[in-house]
Amino acid sequence: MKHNKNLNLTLMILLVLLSFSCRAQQIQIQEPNLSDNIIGTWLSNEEPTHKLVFTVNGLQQSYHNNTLSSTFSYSITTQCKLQTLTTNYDIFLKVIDLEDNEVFCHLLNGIHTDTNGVITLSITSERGKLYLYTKQ
Amino acid sequence: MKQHFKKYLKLGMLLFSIFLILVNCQKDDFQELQETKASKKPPNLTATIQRGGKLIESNKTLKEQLAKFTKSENSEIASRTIYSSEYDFSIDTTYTQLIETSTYNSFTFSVERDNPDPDILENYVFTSFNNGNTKQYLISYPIVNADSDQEYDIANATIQSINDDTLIYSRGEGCWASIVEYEDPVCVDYNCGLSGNHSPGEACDDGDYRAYTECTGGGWVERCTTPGGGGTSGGSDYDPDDTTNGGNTNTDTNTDNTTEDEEEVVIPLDNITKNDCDTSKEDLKKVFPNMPDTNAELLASIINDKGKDFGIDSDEDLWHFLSQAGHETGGFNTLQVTENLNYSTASLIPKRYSKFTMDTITNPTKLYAGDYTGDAEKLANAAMCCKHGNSNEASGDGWKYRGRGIVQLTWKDNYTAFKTWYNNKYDPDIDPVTTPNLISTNDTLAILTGLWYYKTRVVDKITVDSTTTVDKVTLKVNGGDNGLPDRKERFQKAKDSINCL
Repeated sequence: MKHNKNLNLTLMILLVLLSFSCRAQQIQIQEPNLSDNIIGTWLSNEEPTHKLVFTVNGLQQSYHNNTLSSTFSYSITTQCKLQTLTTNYDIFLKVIDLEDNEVFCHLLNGIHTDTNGVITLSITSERGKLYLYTKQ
Repeated sequence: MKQHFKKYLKLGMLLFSIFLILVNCQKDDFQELQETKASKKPPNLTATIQRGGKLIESNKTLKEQLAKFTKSENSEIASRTIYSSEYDFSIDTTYTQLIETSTYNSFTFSVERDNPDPDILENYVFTSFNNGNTKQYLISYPIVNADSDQEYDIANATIQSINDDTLIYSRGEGCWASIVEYEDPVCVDYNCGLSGNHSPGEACDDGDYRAYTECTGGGWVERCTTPGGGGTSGGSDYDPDDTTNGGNTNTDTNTDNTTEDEEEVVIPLDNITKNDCDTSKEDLKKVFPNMPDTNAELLASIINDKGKDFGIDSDEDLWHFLSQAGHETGGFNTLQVTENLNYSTASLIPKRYSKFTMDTITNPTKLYAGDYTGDAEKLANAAMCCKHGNSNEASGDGWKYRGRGIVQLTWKDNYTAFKTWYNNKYDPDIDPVTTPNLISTNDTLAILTGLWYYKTRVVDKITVDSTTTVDKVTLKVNGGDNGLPDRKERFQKAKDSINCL
């Protein structure tokens, strides 16, 4: 009887460990601190008069010639609309149009610091176009 | 012998005469047919359907009148639908039927209501006479054959006068307006009879005659319309020279009886024509001067043939589409815009995609960028895998479904959605999912992907009218407002330069 109890306990522990192990395998590898590093002002590499500002309270503000042109709410997430990303280093920059709540699932390709200390934000839009910004 | 010869000669001449008479009669039939066709033009007036915006802007009297329809201070006269709280109906200004005569111009608009009667076509008519007087009507035409080509029961049309900003029924008598409509002639084919069954124009078996079509009746018919239900007097053939009937009569029955204007002619304006916006190579070149002629010709023909399928049915839609697509293509210099994924310097790759690194010792879970330099296909498969419908790296989807066409259609999800729409609408045998290169090798498909994207992202989601901003359309197309100043500039240039034809 006691052997049976030990056996049950062992099985339970094994199951729990196994489930944790499986979960650990499913967790994708992501760039650390993306949520922190994205905060700030980013100047478009393509359009010198265009910049994006990501605020700590979850807003993405777009400026052209220093005039605010649009505001979205944003989040960095592996889930957007009906999609879930599971591959390493893939993550969504999910933005929501505050006027009508339409959701766009851009891809946050990463934030890269080169040897000169220049920090680059790379976004592939939901439409598939690559945009690069440099941290101000 | 001599007498026999004379007999035969007489008989021969008789037969020849009969032949000449028959040929001559046939020639008369042909001329009659030509005359019937020639009478298809309405007499003594010019009736054209024009885009409303420009027409309204260019006519001061009409513009002042339509100011009463302005819904709010922010609403523009040239917007598609404008509402009058005084009259309690809206009119669609997208298309206006302009009737021009020597003594007046009249403007006919489709009336819109929240709960329209599906069996009635309503038109608002504003007439401006040369002597400065004006009239306005609300005309209701009962619709017959609603399921097929719409026809209107002109004989039972009713007419209301709008006087002193109030809709009233007139108690006057006589004609208010003459409604003219074109009635098709009745045509009968004569297919050679005993000399074989042939289509019109073909030679009969005897070789002497040709099968032909004979048409009778038809042409423009005018009916005098009086106020109240079923108040039209009997129809009569329109005679432009008869000044007692039709466009040149002087039986004014204006409700205030203060003007002596002639009775005007009106023609029903239906909704069938309100779904198209044409353009031309020349107009497109005004907006995009560096656009190659071949591209301009192709874009114009696609917009003219298929634009309405994508909701390009107004000036605003045309301007916004050209603004967005013009930005993406750099002014349509090329119809094939493809994302450049060919990096010759390895260090540029990690800057764009964080799954790559130059240092796999420190970052062992990342891909070594040096393995992907100069190999755009390999890079695309790794960088673009596993999202928006693209399968894993080995599937090759990243490269297969890279950006193509005038808006860089990207991702398998978008290729699939476009294929489904295209197959259902045009051709079930074209498969850009199996053969994605079709979009980069076929300029027509390259343009259609752009129109489709505009439709799904803009037309299907928001109402595009004169109040729609470039900012809003850009957000819908892009999920952001990159390139906004350039898109605005292109929009303004389109707005200043062209209108739907």
